Amino acid sequence: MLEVININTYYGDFKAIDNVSIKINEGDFITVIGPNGHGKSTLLKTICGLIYPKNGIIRLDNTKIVGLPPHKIVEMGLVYVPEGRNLFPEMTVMENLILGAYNKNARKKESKSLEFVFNLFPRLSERKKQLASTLSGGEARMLAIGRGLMSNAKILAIDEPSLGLAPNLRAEVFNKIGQINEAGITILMVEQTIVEAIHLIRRFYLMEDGKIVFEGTEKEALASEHVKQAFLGI
Amino acid sequence: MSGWLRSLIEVVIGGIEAGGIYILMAVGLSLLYGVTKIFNYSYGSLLTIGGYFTWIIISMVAGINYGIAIIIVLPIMFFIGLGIERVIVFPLRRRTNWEINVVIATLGLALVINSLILIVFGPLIKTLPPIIEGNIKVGGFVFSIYRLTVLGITIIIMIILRLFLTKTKIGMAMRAVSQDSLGAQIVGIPINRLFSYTFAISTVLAAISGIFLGSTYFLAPEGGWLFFVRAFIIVALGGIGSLGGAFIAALILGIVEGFVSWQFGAIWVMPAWFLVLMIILIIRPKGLFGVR
Repeated sequence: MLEVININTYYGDFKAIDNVSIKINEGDFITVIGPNGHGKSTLLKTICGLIYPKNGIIRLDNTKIVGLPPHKIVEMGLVYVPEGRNLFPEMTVMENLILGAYNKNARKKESKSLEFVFNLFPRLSERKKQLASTLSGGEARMLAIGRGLMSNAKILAIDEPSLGLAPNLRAEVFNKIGQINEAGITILMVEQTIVEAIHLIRRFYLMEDGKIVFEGTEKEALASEHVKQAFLGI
Repeated sequence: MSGWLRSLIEVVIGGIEAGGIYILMAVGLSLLYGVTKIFNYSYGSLLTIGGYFTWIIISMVAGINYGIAIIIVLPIMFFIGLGIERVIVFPLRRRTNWEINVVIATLGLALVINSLILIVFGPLIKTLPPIIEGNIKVGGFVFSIYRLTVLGITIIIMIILRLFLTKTKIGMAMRAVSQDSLGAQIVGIPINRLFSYTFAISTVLAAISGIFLGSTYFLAPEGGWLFFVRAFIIVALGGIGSLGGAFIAALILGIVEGFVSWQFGAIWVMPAWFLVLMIILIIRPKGLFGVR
């Protein structure tokens, strides 16, 4: 479904992504783990067309997407959920969600998507008339994910969903992402530690210094001392 | 009622009428900066050519209806705005440090437009006829029907703009871009297209203001600068990007203008405007209604 082949991304002279390849099948739940500042977010942004790689191939459903403007990539169903949330602060929860369905494929399914989002996050339904800037950290995170779902996402690329959340909320957010995955949406998630979510994830990548240094299933991840200690927190 | 109080009320009425003429010009500048972060130095010149285009249609076509002339001019200005954004601003925006480059490019464009106006229309000032004439007296105070009409048209356009920004997908997308442009890209808003539309709408608002100002004051090849400076002060006072702020600030500065002209003479109007702006910015650095 999504193939990333040997991409390199630079910030000026600094090589942030070093020859990275990733393959995602339909329905997968993939997580890229790794320490802060080692290129995980850059990888997601590159895949979603917000940063251009210097070279390499990215294919979505067999179409090359490198160089396409971000809104074309969203239209194809690959949707980024940013770590910084990037909500529209002076708009209501409802307006934020409606704008999620901006592309023409998503507009047709707007009411259906809205129902799905409100079922998943009843809290957003209660707060739909509230300004996004007045939401708590957890609610804002849910709105960012909900807005991504409104875009008729086939693949949701989620950047550190648990960042800055209390432990009980982290588990809740991971559970919701698990439910989204069960509903048939492919998940590509980036995280620093994912101990609460380990049972949900099908395949792990470990990224260090812009390189993928480990790739494998939960079992293989647990078998590697390096992965286990540093990133699974076990 | 004492004579002084009566004069003061007249000054306030006159000030609101004068401020009303400035509202749309400030709203157009504020909308453009709020959404696109483009600071358009050619804004005053675009405003001026809006006025000149209307003038030439009215002068050349005998007996043409004012409204029809305006209906011809506004779409032309829309496409001029669209063209300027596509040809001049867009290529610069793809590079780093584009903000300062766009300032220089639009400043250059202003000089070119002003020279073209001088070549085509000559150095003599032009005045547009008022849209409507006459005065009405209410409670012993005289109101200019023309200026009240301008204020009325302005309020109607502000309401339409408000509905456009809150009820339509494109309008909502414009607000989205102004609040978080990365967020807007993420939800799939084609932000380059939005920039062009916003520039075009801003140019149309400039042209409407050009017609108001050309019939209140006059049009001259370099005349756009004065209006541009005024628009800038109003926008900064109201809070950059806030359309309601521009509305209130224009009325406040209109009253300041009336009061200062009455007490100290018209040459002190601009210093007084700057003084008011500086005092407000010391108290509220983001302007009266600014959020950023």
